[in-house]
Amino acid sequence: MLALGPVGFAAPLALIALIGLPLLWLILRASPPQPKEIVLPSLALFHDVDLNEETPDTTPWWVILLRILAVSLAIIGLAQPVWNPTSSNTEAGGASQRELVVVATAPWTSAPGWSEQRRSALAALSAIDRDRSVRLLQFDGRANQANAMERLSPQEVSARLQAMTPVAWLPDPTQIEVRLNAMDLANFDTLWITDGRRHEGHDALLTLLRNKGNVQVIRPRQSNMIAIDGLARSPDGPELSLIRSTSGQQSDVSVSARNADGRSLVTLSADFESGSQTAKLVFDVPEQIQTEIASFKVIGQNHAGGLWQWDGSNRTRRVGLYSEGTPLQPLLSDTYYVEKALAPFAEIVSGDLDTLLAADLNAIVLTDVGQLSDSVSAELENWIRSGGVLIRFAGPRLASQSDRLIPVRLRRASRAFDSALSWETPQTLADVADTSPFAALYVPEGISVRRQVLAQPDPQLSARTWARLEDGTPLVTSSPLGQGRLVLFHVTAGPSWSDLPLSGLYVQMLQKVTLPARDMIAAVPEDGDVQLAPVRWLNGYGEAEQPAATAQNLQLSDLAEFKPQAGYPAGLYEGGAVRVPLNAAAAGLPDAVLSWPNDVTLLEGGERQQQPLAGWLLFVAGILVAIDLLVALFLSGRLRGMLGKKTGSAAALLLTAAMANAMNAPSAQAQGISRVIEGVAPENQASIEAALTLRFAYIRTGDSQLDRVTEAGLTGLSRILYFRTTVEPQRPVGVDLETDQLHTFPLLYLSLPDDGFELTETSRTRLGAYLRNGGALIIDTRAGGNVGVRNLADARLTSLLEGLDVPPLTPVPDDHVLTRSFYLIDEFTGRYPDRPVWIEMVGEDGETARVGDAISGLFITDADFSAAWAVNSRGRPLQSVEGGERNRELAYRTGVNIVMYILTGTYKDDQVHLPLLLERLGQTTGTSESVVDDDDTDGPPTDIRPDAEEDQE
Amino acid sequence: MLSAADRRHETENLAASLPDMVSVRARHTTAHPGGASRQRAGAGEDFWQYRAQTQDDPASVIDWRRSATGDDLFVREHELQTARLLGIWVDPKPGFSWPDAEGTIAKSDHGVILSVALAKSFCEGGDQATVLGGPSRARGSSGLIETMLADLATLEAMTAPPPPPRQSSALIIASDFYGPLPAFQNWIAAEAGAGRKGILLQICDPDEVAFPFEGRVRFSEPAGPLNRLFGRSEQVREAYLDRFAKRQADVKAIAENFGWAFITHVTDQPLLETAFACQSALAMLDETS
Repeated sequence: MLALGPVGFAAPLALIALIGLPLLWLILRASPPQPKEIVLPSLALFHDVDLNEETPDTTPWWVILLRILAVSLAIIGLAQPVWNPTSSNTEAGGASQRELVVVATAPWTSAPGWSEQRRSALAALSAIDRDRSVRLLQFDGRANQANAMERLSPQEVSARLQAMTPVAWLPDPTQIEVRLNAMDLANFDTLWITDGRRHEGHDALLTLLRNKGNVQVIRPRQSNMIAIDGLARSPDGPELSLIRSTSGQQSDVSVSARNADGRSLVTLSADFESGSQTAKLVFDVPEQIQTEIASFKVIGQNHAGGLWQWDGSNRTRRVGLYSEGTPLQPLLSDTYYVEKALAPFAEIVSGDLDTLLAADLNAIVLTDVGQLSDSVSAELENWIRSGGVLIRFAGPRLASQSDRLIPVRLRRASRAFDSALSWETPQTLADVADTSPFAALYVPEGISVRRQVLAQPDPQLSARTWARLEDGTPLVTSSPLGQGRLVLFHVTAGPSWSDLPLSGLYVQMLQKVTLPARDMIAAVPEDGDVQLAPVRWLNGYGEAEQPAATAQNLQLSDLAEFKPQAGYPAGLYEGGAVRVPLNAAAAGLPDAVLSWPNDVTLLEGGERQQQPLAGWLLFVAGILVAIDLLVALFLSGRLRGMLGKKTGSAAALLLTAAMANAMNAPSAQAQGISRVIEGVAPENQASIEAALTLRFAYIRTGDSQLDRVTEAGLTGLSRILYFRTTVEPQRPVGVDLETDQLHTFPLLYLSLPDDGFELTETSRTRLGAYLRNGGALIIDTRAGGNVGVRNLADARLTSLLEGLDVPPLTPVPDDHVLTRSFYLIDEFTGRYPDRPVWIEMVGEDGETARVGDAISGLFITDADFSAAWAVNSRGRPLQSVEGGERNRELAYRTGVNIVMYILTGTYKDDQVHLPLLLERLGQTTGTSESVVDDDDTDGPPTDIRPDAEEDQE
Repeated sequence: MLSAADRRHETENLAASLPDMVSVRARHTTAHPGGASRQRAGAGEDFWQYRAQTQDDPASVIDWRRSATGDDLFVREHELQTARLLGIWVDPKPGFSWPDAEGTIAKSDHGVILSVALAKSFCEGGDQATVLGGPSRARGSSGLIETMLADLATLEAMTAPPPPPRQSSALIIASDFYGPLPAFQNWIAAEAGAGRKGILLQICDPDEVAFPFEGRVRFSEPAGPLNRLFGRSEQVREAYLDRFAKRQADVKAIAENFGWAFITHVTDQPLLETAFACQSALAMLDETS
């Protein structure tokens, strides 16, 4: 490498080309720019004068300078200059030929500066000897353990580092030590890509590495890192504890609570006091919002530690709803009201009691269940004693008999206010006592209770009553049972006994009574055989990702002190009824290593490194060449058109426009005649042109002879249409189903070659889309056949239609609109006379095309239309037709009818009823007969087809 | 160049938006109404009057049926009808059908559209039109557009239009008039001598009118040998515009000399405007004849 001050050249020999510059200068001086060629008819006015004014035109000096500058920049760029070249002998291990071990860890703690760090690492790798063997110890959860044993080239290591991304767990230096020892190398140099934090075992590892050889450390640039390392439940809401990497001065940090979709629900700001490394933040937000929170995120901290997933073990209620079978009127049943009220904040499981007890619930709701069987109630009691909440609602059945699982003893009847034999009026709710969990709830007025079950008077009744009516009778009672609790609403869950279920109070009450949440961890069996499968993982940036296919389950018994580690990154794990989030920073944020030993080369991400300049120089040279192009155009006067119209357009646009102009594209002078639409890009202009011109297309089959005939056939048909109808098609074109735009063609024609025609998958899809969107396809097997044979059984056809979305087909019925869309015809004639044409069955069986305006997009025939239509460039028929010229005329009429049918749809279908209409109008049947049975020899009668013998009128 | 279908389409559009010549002429009341009855005896198909036989009348003209009702002899007279014939010619030389790139609008396109649309409106009043040198006979309004477009496509390049049919009374000659003028002048002199009037319709491209070229340009004639290289074409502009204006003045002088009309149309102008101008000119020609 040649070094000139701070610039080095990797390929200095290329600089020799600079000698050629003076030669270039001479050449440029000598050759004037090419003149522009313009054709101008009015030049004839100059025919008698010799005005050949050839000014000796030399290239201006500044153009030469520009070009020489561009060329010299390009030459220097090709010499591959490098700014600030790092000479290889300052690198790790120096010139030693010891093996190099690259220890690469990318935990979330290095995520914020990872891209810079990786660039430094790659630069360091690029500087080492290409032939040196390198081993890579990569800790990103993906790497194969065996890799460490492989000898790699620096390029391969670079490639692997290139693909490395931060992970959501912290490295374990002892693990690294074990792996290094396993390699069994006497001595080696180390390139250690680390997050620069003091993990447990850091010092031991560093000592080991220094003993083995030179150590170069690449660590991320130090930045202030803030992580959430814990969440506790406080009375006001979840309390986050935050930790930052430096205990610097006082600072604010915003933390947002986000729902499961990642949308921010509420953002609060925490305050790190000066000198303190931790801070607390209480999310004092309403319960409803709390229930939605799925995670907390420190704003501006893009690493897994800044994200705290909240599993909701502190909030989600799993409530069982007892129901047997489907009620007759589901919307009036009691359970419906409970379900509606619970749904916003609880996960609902419904089923019979066995199901509910098996599911892992914290509350079970029974609506008007009187007597449970002994065995079930014993089980239920066990469940309650172990911490469950049983919520019961009264009802006619509970009023008549009840089991033991109620908080208070009940009277054997319900009490009805406001009934025929009662003087009592419906009662409203009294304010709740302060001791009740409902104390904080607002009791709206106007909730009336029309019926209730009554409790037996009891000394404990008052203590067990959580809500009561105005007259003091209990509405909600509750008693503890073991670790659990029984709650009884003395009214029905539905509105039949009271208005309570219709009020917001009902929802709030249910929210309170389902609240005593179980501690999820405690609910896990002691023996720890619950396996937690990963639901999602986090990467080092705190983004969710799919668990790897090889992900293993987590043993829950580990969980208490479990830290995210290789194979088990931070994320969400699930097993049984338990969902456990594993948070990256739960174990805290290790301190940064502030002082490294002197013999360790320390490289920070983003530090100065060698900068290749070649790209920049070549870029500038390219720009200069582009400017030169514009200048050349300007000098030869070709920029005129653009500068006049579009000053201020972008340079690139200018360039392309200049090129377009240089090709002498005539400007769009469309005043009286306007096919050219302004403001449309030229490439779209082509499709607009295609959409504005009507032309038929045939599908290229690869059989060139056949394709020629098909094209000639469509040309012939187009001519006939042009002469006889208002349809004026342009020349037909051949299309390739795979590549060409189909939607601008109203009609595709496919002549089946003798050896069949296979559709590829793409073309099948595209053809299907074309047909579905209103295209028309004529498939001609060209088989002909006897008049008697009317079916189209043909292996080529079968294989073609396979996989194409084809509705059932039917022969064209006698009175189908196809027989009268322009000419009245009674048979379809191609090269073979009177052949069947099969079309899509549009209506019901046998009711083709009578339903709606749907038309058939598919026409299948064996009459070989195109051969009958085919004409050469002079309009002479190409092929003979069975039955002579008369039948050729009939073939044209068939074609005209098909085209008219395709273009106008069922427009002529009204005539199907014409005989009937004429009859009603009092015409003689003779007239109507003649209309229908006209045998088209001289065109149909003018009264129903005024445009038949078109031409001039 | 436009395709045939486009030409037909545009011509029909233009023709549809033009008033027929009868109503145009109605504004020039002295003009005689074409092939309609002239309200005096003469050659025609409709009965005009019976008049008493004079000595000049041969026996063969006596209407015996009328004469048999009385003692006098009567001659049956027809009403005078004169059908006028409009001849059109669009210069078929290659320089006129320029720019000839696909999708652009050539001068000849406008020439064809204008002249055929005018012919169509001319014929609405019962008159006839034909293409000078075209294969078809003169015909009336019905089917005129298709026939004329087809005929115009068959013309071959020549310095002056072919001689019109004997009975033709008005002519529309569309060209750019860049060719040699003397031949043209002779032709017009001959036609004007035969009592025919007409319009010289000059159609130019905007580039020809403005000469917006700059820089080093080599100009050449379409399908012609002429070419000129200008190092600074903007310096030639003045000379060019002078020559262009002089040529226009020359053609105009020829036209006015023989009582013809001279109308200039640039292809970036609306067609309809020029078409109206031509109609008025046709009507004016009637008036002066």
